[in-house]
Amino acid sequence: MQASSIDYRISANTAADAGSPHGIAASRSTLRLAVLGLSPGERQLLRAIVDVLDSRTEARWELVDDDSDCDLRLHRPGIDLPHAPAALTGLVLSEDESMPAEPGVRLIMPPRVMAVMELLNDAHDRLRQPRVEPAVDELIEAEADDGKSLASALARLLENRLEHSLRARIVGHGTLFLCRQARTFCTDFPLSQLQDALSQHRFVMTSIPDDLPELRSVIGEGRPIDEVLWTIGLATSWERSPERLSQARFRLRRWPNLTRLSHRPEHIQLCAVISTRAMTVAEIASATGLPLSDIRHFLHACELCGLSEECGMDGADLLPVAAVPATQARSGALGGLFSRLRQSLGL
Amino acid sequence: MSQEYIVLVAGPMGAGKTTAIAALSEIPVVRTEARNTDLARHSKALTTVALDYGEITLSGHDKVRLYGVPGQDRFDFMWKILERRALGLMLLLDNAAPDPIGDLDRYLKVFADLDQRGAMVIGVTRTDVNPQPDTETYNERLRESGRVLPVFALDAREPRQVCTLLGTLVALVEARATTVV
Repeated sequence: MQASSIDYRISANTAADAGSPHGIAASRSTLRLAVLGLSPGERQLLRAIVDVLDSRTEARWELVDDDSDCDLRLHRPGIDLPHAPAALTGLVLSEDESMPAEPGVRLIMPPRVMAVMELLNDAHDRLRQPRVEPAVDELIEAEADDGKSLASALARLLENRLEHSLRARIVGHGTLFLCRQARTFCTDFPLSQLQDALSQHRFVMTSIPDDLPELRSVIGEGRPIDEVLWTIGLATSWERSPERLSQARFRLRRWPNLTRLSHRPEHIQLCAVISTRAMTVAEIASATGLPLSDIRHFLHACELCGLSEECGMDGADLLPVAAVPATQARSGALGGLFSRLRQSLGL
Repeated sequence: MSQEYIVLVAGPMGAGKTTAIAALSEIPVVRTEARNTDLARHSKALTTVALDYGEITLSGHDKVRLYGVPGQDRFDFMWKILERRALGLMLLLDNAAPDPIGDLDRYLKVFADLDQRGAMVIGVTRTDVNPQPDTETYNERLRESGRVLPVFALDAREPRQVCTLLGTLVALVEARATTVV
């Protein structure tokens, strides 16, 4: 997937400033802008413009030479970028260059004062709160220090059967789209970062309409939503009372596609036991010998993916109990075959 | 005394049974291939005409014996012979075949006894060639038949994936055994 030019961070240094033309009088952020790949002349011109705009933009911007810790990094397409994260990235394009299809921050060269001001204000909006699309049904913000990860926030929403699509801009990573209707998700950062991205506390999550152009342009490359729901479920706690959880019986409606989902061998065992009949958490623990917390996380993952269903204490067994296996299939005769197979195969 | 556990690997011709056994077996797979005379069904040059055999040694010198049965219907008498002693079945289905759901129905019927007595897991191969039907379609058909069985997209050349399929089969056999009253 092509990397988007947008990622997100809620952070800025603030400086007292009065008389802002945009009405942000009490305090203004000082944001750091780095631009890579400019000629000395272009750089001088841009610096002059940024200086002129000092009191006219919503935030105060500083054009910096060191891009190792900047809020907005602009670069020419195809340039090798440093590893240092930027809160927001964008492209530097010439007037005669074609604009990329995906939305994002663009600096058109040669720079013009009003265009630079719009760019900086747009970037500030994105950094502060990316409410740029219409028909936003719900906005959920998580502050850096609120102790809640993106995975937890997503889990809460998904447990409530949210049917909207979601966009999460995640600090240091990029953007995650979840489209429940199409049962797909996509990211503009490598999937290998997904787990880390879900553990982040600094993000902005927005409920977005399914026909949002930004979503439609990327969702065709989406992956099955179970891959991210499974990860979220395993990483987070189920928000329900322990009493209610202990009284419910769970059974598997559908197996997770375990060759596609990251899992531990214990998850295979857990799926197996609740595919045979509905069981309480205590019964599952007794059958597998696994800790209750592991079982709760597993059940949470199944719930989010729609793999399991809940029965009352009188819930009927899903399958008729199989006829007694003739020889090998008796538990005793198997002698912990799964465990031994794990050892042999290195599962 | 050491024990042996027999696992059958079945499925239509070209579904990847021989490859899957080779991915699991710690010994070179004993193959019985001959020139494919049923090119209308599958274009591969060679196909299994007797059994493929592989094995995995467990602690205590116990062995899991893997038998791949020929996919062609004319060999189905062998399926029944082996089924009686088997722990369970790994059913591989070729998603690029003309009617993979029909193949599922056929094998569910043929191996219904083994599914009841032991367990069955399903690996759907060549989903990269033909993404449809997706695993949910297979799950739906299983639900209609009153079954909840594992259905995994499978690349039979990937040992890790085939191990997951076999591990799932064994876990399911154990789980069913422990729930038998």
